[in-house]
Amino acid sequence: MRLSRDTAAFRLISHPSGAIGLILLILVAAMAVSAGWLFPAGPWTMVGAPRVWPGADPRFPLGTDSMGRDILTELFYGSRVSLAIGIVSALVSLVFGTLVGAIAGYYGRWIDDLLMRLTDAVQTIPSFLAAIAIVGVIGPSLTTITIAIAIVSWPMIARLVRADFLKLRSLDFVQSCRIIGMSDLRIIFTQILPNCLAPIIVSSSVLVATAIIVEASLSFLGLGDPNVMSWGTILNVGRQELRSGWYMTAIPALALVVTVLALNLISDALNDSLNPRLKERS
Amino acid sequence: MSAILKTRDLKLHHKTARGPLRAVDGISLTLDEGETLGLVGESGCGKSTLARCIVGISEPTDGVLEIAGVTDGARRPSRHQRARAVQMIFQDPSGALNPRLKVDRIIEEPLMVHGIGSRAERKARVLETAEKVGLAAHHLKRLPHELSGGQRQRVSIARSLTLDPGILVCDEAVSALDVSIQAQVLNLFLDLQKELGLAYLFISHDLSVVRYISHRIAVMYLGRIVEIGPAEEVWKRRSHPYTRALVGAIPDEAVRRDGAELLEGDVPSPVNLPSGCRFRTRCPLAQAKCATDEPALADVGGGLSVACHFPG
Repeated sequence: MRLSRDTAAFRLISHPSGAIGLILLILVAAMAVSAGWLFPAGPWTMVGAPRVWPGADPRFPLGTDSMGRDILTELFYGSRVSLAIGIVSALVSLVFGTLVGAIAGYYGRWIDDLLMRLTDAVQTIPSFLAAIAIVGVIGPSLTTITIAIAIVSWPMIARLVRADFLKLRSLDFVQSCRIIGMSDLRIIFTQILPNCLAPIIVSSSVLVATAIIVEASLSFLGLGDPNVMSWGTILNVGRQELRSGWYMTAIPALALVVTVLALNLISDALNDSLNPRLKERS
Repeated sequence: MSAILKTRDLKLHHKTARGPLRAVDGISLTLDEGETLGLVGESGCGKSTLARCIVGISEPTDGVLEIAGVTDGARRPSRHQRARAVQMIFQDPSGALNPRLKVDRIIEEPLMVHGIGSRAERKARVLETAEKVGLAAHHLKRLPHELSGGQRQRVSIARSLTLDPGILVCDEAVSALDVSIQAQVLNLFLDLQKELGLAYLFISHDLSVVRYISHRIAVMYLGRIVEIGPAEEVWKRRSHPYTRALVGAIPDEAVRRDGAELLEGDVPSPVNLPSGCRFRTRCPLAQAKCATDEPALADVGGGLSVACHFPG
């Protein structure tokens, strides 16, 4: 098992889009990690004149916003929020979606009906509107935003996992586990789940990308956590200056595009490297 | 010899929109310790469903199932208890093994589930069982897809033996294997029976395979047993017209010359059974009586019981 995981990791690195995606993502992660050391003053301090264009002052390579804050600093701190919310909300929806999908697919019958109708119900709600509603009602904070994103994105995972469980539960090796006396929980987690990890892993990177976009959109609309600087916050501030200083929105938007692109490239490469049928091709 | 497995009037009816589907419709049989009971019949006659009821993957809807003295019903054996008494070998050896686990882990799993032995003891037990079924130590570190079909079936057998069950249900256990491998695996089953005193419920559509390995043979048609008795009696006398047809279907000139006719048509739907005898729609001997009275299993001498109004 260790050997096959190593080879999958190797295929991911040697995959062209996997390599590019990983490099970009590592850069963004490095920004998040180094923000505190490089810019100890924090993103909120006024450091110079407002509306300095990028390149005009060597102290502010990416310029300053309408409040005279350094956009480069804001960008570094914003990557922390984006990555943290993206990863945590993806994890939460992954765990919840997997549980719902596994139970529905394994037990079938009325449990399946019940859980899948619930999934349908959540899925029919436009997810961004639902996120706005949840954050609007509970109040904006990192926790509520994370939970709101997780609530709207678990159904996709649940459907995916359920489909695989439906397929795998009737296979002889699963039946054989029941015959040797294995409990249902143990069968679900040690026998079936490891055999349907590939699609879950692939979709999890898309999940992170979606979560980052939703968070940025919420902040852009002013529904972000007012105590943290996220890319969406920069967008929100820059929006008012869109005609005179479009760079204030273009720069954080570019950071979002690069991060989401990196995650999609990785997802693509994961799909290829985890798919055993494509092994021979690469 | 005492019975290790008993079923009495065992039924499994699936609910369908058009009425109950009688997959297993009143099976009474016994299996003694160390005995092999062969179960033959066309596909769709309920053989596999019966096997699934016995090992506990399916729940019978009616009737009594007694395994190693524990009766189904009020004191139903738990999944855990049943596992120690009865194990099953599947038809497709590649589907019956978890593709992500190594062979030694696959064989060890039953011991882990039942918390038997320390790690070292389990390892020793795995090695011993693997040798018993003809696997070498170097096979144990492989993944299932790196083994041949025959080796995979040996892995399945080893896995099912680690809990020392008294009964092994073999559902078409050799049907997916090459003919040369089939003989090897059949001989392995015979050796294991001699050594461990196992009882087999050996299910197959192939009467010649069943005849080779069984002490007794039961012939199943549409959820019922139509003929049961000692293997050679069933084979030689072929009292039930359906048994004659099954023998006649074996592609072997020497057997075919007996003048048995081949069956025509398909098995009737188990939702909409024929009145009277269920075999009458395809039976060359069918008379008016067959459409009204359902024949019960009756002793015709020599230990043979046949459910037919006109046994041959």
